[in-house]
Amino acid sequence: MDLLVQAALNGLLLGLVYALVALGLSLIWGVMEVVNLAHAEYLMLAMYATYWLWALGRVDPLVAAPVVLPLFFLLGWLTYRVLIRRVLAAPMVSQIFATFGLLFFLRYSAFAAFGPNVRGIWQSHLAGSLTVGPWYVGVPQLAAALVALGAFALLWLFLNRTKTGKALQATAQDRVVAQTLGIDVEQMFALAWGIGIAAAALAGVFLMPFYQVSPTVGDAFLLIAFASVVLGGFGTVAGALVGGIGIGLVENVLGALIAPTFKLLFAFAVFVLMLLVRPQGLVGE
Amino acid sequence: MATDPPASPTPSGAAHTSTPSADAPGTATPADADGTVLAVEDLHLGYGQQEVLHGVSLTVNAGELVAVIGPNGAGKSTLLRGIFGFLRPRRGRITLLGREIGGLRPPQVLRAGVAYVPQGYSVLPNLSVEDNLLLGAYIRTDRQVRADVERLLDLFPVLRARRRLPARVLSGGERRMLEMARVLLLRPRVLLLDEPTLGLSPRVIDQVYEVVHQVNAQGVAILLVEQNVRTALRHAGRAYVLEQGRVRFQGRGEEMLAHPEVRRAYLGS
Amino acid sequence: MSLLLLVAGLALVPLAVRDSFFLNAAIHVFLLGTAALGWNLIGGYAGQLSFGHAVFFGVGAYTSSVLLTRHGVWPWVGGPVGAALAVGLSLVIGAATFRLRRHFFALATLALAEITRITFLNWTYVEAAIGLYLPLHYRGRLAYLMWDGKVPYYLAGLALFAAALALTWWVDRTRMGLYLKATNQDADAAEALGLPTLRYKLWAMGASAALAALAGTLYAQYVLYIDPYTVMASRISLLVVVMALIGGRGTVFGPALGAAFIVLLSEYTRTALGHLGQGYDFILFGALIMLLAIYEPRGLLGLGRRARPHRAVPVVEGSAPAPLPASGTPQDRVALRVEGLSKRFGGVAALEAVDLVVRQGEVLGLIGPNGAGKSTLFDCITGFQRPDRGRVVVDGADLTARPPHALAHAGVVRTFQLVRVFPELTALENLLVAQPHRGESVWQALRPPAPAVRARAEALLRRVGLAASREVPAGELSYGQQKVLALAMALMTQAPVILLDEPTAGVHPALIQELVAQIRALNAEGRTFVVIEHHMEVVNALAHRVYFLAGGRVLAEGTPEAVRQDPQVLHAYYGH
Repeated sequence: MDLLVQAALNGLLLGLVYALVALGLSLIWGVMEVVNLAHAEYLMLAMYATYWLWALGRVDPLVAAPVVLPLFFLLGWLTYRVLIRRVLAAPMVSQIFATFGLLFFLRYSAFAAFGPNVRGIWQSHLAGSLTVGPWYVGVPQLAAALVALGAFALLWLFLNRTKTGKALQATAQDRVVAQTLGIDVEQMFALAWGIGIAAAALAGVFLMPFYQVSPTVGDAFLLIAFASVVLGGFGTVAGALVGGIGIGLVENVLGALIAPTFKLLFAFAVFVLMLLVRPQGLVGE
Repeated sequence: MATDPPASPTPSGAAHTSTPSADAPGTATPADADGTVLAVEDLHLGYGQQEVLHGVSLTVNAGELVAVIGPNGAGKSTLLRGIFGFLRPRRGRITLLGREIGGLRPPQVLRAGVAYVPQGYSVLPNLSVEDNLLLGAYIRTDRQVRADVERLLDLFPVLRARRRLPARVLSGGERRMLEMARVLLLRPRVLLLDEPTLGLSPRVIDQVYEVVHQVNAQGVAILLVEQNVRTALRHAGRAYVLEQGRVRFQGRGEEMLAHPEVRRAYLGS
Repeated sequence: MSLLLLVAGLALVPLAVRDSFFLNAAIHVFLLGTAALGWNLIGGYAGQLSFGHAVFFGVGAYTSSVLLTRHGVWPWVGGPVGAALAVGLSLVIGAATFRLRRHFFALATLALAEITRITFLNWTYVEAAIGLYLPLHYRGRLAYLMWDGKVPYYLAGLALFAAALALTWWVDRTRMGLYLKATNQDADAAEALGLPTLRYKLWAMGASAALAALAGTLYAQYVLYIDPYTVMASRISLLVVVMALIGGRGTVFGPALGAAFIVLLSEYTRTALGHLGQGYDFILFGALIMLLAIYEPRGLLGLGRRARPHRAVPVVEGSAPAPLPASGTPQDRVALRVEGLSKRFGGVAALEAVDLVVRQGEVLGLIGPNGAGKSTLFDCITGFQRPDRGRVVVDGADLTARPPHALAHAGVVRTFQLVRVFPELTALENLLVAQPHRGESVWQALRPPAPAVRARAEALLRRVGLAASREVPAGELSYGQQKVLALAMALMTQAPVILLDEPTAGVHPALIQELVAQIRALNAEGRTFVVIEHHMEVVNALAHRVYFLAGGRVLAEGTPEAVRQDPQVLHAYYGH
């Protein structure tokens, strides 16, 4: 029983990070109905950025975050302006290929630049673990989860309490109506990409203290992110949160119950099942 | 910007609140009371390979309420969409107070002073009534927005009662109120209304038109598309009959109702 | 025939070239190219983008290798067994996931491939993560498909590659190719014409899985060591897609071209740039795919096609108004009946207890204001929507809620309000897709269109005035011409009852008169029409009887003259 609670705890913390990655995906889909197959590659690149800042300058991830975040916001914004904008009006196939090509481009750029080896950091400020009764909580995991939670809160405030945030919601709900109100939907799309990629990058920065990076790390995370979004419901912030936590729990609890090596398999199985049975997700309509 | 004169009483006799801030864009000026506000000349436009409008010309003068009627597929909605900038004109001109607006994108057209309420429901379903109103003033940069919103909620108590609820719980008529209130936040020179009474019961239709007249009385010229001929001609001063992408006929109000041309357009010869 | 020359030429190459590097690269081109050609059948032709095809490659590799290693079974047997397993797996996956939208399907296949890979990683029977070593003592024996040198592998790979090319070539020139392409371009339109799209997609899926599996088997025999990371990795899935994309999906030689391009470029950068070269080739591929997505989704072959001069599209002139042909006479027999049909969307009643009778040989008009439910009625009759209540009876048989192709087989086809043709097929090909499909088996689909069918298609094109445009892609025709083509396609199905959804909407006024004349003439020959229309002149000229719908209900029924004066009709348009 203790083991299960421990697994659930791990799952909850990790799930919050998953939710953060899923958030960007869900936002981009919700605002412009584009499925970003390259989403996890930005996560991977942010992890590398964090790694190199640490390896070359002993910059702690906590300090790296305010540097990496704006950089990746810009990267997301640019991706929209340079690539995505041009395939928005094209059939879905072209959109799939565009983000697919982007996936290749980013992943193998990392291969070329950093080599195939797995890398990790140690001796960051976020290290060690806390004991809560019979269970333990890793400090880096806790930090990542808290940051994710904070990011969700900030985004919620942005979307619901600021004029631009509401305009973004409006664009997601009805593009035509948004235009009749004078909202520049192009700007909103670019903004959604900026925020979405920045969210993935934030997750990457805080994963680095307890996760290792290689150019192919995006594989698993992409599927996890999609599994979270499909579980929770595409297009809503709450959906990403619920879905991410859900996948984290499924992965760790079922993994603990049945077999740890099959952890990801359970997550993916839930993903496929949701797609077939209830594609609108648990929270979605 | 010039301040506005006090508002005149509406046809239904309801009292008026003071007009919103003079900083609102497109504030109507009374100067050219008989002048043309919106002019469409020989407009050709369509979707992809199709051409839907084959040379439409019409005018809307200051203070007018003009209707566009005609059977389905005539191009009425396309006309409004084209004026608002969702479609590029292939030929012809669209001018607002003499200024060319054909070819501008929707946010620019809105800033120039033309507002548009599309067919169906144009509220944002998952945002609150209050947020819907606030977004109506999206292009305003002044500080009076909140005050104006409060005034509008006074004017429409039904909206005040539901201000924090998501707009999707509003009934059809209430959504129309919300849309009109939003328009009032901007005081555009011209309002394009696409079938405001679609799907509404007769009693609610009357209420909606009451508000439409209120908006009109504030100095907003209105061009509206209406499928039901009698409704359109009861409320509009003038009407154009659009059929197969061309203006067949135009005339004043009630006299058009019995005109054989109108009957033919809907039901054939 | 160029195919035979190519294969023969390739077969002779090892006589001259003995370079090990080149042979190795060529073998990779053949094997991965086979898998890519297989993918092309389901992804390129049919448009189901699978990002998990490595599953089939791996299943093939593992099946034959495990059977060889543990039970000494010849790869000649193990290979087909693996292919059969792969086919079975693919049919299960396809049947479950084909209805998902494109990007969800892509993700589902990605996930399923990962699930399979993780399973194999932990399955001790297949040596799990350690990997499977093929026993080397079988070398030098044809029976075990294992040799010392590279040349035999080259020839074996070439043979498989040639088979894949031949299959693709065959599909492309037979009806199957047309059907798959039509399904890709507009699945709904294909269904409405009677094409059982699921059946053909499953066929393509099975064929593609079999090819991938056989390639996997041969690959295992070549490299002599397999594990889930090498034969089931997403890398292979993605690579196969990249090859077909870059070369040109939906074409015969595209994936082959793509495979050659990618493997050779890969090897070149690896040798030229050494260790640094790792990844540079793929960066290029990624950039290339993005560019292709923006500018030329048809790949390198598409770029080649662009170079050809553009054919001028003949314009269909409106002729001087001729006297209308006499219309047909309605029989008493009921061709189609709708009883008590109701359909709600959310809280809105789109159709409310609609009763409708269509007599054989008549032209029935459906009129009414926007949102009255007319198109929904067509949807419910032809199986695009499932009615909540009520029945659809065709020729006495209850066909309620059957899929669209079943309705087409029973003799009811429809056109769409916003015209739907297959834009990248020529006008003639569009008609060939529309041929009657009742009782057509997969075997028959794997044959070229029958000469009689071809002749009928040509005749129809002449009749509607599109004969000059027979080789023009339908997407390049004018809107009016597309509408006429859609009508011709409906006629091609030989269905006795044709539902036309706003046939004159968006059509230039000069053409409308011709369209009306065509329909009347066809009606005189015995075809039954149900026409949704807003142009009252058209209704008056065509319809024997009219139903007036408003708010989902039938408010009036009778001759056009009678309905025009019906007080309910006047009220709906005029008053309140």
